[in-house]
Amino acid sequence: MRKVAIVGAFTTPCRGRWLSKTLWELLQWAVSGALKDAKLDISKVDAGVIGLYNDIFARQAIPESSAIEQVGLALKPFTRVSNGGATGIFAMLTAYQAVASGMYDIVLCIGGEKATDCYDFLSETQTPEVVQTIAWSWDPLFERDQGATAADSYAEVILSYLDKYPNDLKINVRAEILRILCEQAKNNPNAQRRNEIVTPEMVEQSPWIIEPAFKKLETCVYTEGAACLVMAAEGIAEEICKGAGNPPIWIEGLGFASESYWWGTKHPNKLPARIESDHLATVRAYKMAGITAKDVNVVELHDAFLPQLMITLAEMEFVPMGHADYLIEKNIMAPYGKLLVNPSGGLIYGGHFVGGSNMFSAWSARHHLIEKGLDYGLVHGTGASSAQYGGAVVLKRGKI
Amino acid sequence: MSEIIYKGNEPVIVDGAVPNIMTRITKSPIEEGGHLCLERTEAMYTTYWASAGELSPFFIEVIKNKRIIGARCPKCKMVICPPYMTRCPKCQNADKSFVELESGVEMPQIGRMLNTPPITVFANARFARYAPFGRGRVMLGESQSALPIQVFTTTGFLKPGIFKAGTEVKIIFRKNRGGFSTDYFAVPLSEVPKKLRNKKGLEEHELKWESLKLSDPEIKKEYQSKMKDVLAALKKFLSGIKKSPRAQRDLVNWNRKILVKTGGGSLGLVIANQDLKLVEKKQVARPNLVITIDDPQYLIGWTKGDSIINLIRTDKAAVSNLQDLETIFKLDRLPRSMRRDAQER
Repeated sequence: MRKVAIVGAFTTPCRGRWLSKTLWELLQWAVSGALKDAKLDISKVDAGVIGLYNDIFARQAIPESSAIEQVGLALKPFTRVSNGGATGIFAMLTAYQAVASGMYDIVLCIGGEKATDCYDFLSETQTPEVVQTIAWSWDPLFERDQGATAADSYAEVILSYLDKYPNDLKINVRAEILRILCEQAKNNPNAQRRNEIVTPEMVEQSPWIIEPAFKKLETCVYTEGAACLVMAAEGIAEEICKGAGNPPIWIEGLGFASESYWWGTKHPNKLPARIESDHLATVRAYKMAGITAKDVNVVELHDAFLPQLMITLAEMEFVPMGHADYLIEKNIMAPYGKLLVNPSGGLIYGGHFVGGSNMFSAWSARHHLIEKGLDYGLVHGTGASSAQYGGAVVLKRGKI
Repeated sequence: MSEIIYKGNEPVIVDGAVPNIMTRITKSPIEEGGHLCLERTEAMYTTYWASAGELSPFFIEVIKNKRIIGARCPKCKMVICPPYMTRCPKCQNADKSFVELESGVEMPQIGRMLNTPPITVFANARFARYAPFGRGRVMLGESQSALPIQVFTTTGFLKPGIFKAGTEVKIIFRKNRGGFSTDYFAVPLSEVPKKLRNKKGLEEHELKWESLKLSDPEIKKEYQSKMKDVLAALKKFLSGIKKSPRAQRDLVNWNRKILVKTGGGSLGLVIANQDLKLVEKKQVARPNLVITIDDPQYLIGWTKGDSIINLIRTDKAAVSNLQDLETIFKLDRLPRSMRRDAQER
């Protein structure tokens, strides 16, 4: 296996809707930006991987087929990945494998989504139709007719966690983390909600979406946007980085896990109170990189809902399971502690264009590793109907 | 946009969800550059005669015999319900093929909730008539997997706390079953009369479904003193409906006489002709719906966008007919519709 580095990255601004841009334009914009960042000629790129979550959002089956020429990869291998909310992180795995295997030297890892063309003509808003589109993810025979919603996917995880740990995930802690994320989004020029102000009082007064799982202010946004990472093999990566003036960001470890669809009390079923896929993915990535949670300086994780962010950080071993509140109470999280969590604002304040959200996270982690001179970053993605798919990637800042 | 079509009292297709073919030219926001963009309505459809394939016996048993069946591995004894596969993914035969599960294992119809189930209050259009409803997972007998199931209470509004992890529940069957996962649901066992608890194939009509027991709000001077302001706020708010096409659309084809009882006195609301009017309580002497609210100040909150549904679920208000929550949803939509139209004006 060859070492692989991220040598260029770009993300479009995140918007609730890009009225003036199609999905293809967003994807081309992201690729163009990443090539510019790496100062790389498109002819040097061997292959591409694209994360596109949902055909219904795109209004087209095999929507990636329409993007091949726009992203400069006509007549080259181009693979689409679709793995629910974790599409982005699994696309990163596919792109990494293509380079690490020795098959290709330079691969583009692209991701995007255009979700809010969906429109409910009864309520005259987008949300019910977006939510309904996501609800097609549930098992059609045993579950879908029962009215599962997009929010249910994490609500059940959070409620079962609270069944087991009723004293954790206190609302005042959640409110403080939200305030921090909102504040951090102000420093992200591409964040969707960078002009908002959220105070703990506003969180406490925010209406419940599913009580006591999460409130309205604790949910991620729907975003339209795209991102692109340029991955290159050792030997070539250094050359590109020398030309671009950026250090290579080495992919030191990767881990992935997919849990059963069906919940139950024993393996192989999905277990209550856990996002085991997050745990397994992260410890596998730590092991491959030869580090532990203590070595991580910045984590960009997939925060679909705020309490899920806290559970995921516990699964990642930053705090013990059942004590996610320690993130604030024991000064783990910046600005009280050293661990920088979602400096992009995360998916709640930064943006969540599903197919590319995890590339957006990697773009941010890379930026902070370089700008702040940090050593290790962790990027994470989760998805599917019951938060079953988990992926984690350990990044390490290299030298020019 | 066309109207909802009814067969008897049941909406057979929400036809308003299907857009007519329309186009418009829209200017993108300033931060996007103010470009002229073409927008057009589109829809994607696929219709199916979907086969349940090898999983058919589960649904046929539900339809014909009101039985829930699972499957068991003869080798490791793992039991699963629902029987979502026909082979054990852990056990292999000598030739390395997966071991086939024994099918048709009858499961008990009393079980326990695996987790606290989420409760949906604000359902999308497809499920609005069931709201509020819960979706959870019930463990039956020796099964190590959980059966996804809707959960209801016979006692009124489904609130957090009625179902928790470990709550003992009874499986209830719908009278009309069509091979869907909504043919059966769960209620707390404690709400089932003792003589019916062990009955298999218990149907929904065998239970007593209570509506909310409404008690008249206590009349208090502090509430009475607010009524003048409340009525003024309501009149001002309701006068805006005529200026709001969205609000009028919210009320299309809807007729209700609503008696609102508060701790400051009663008033009437009448929905008719795509309008909502404030009337004397004697004009709603035979109401379709009664709403009780202790503090009339909450009505001012509603005119500003606070949700009546939230008042109900937090015990600050109650309604006489939980099957008519669609009327409450419509009332809750009005402030937002009027605000949006006002913003566009």
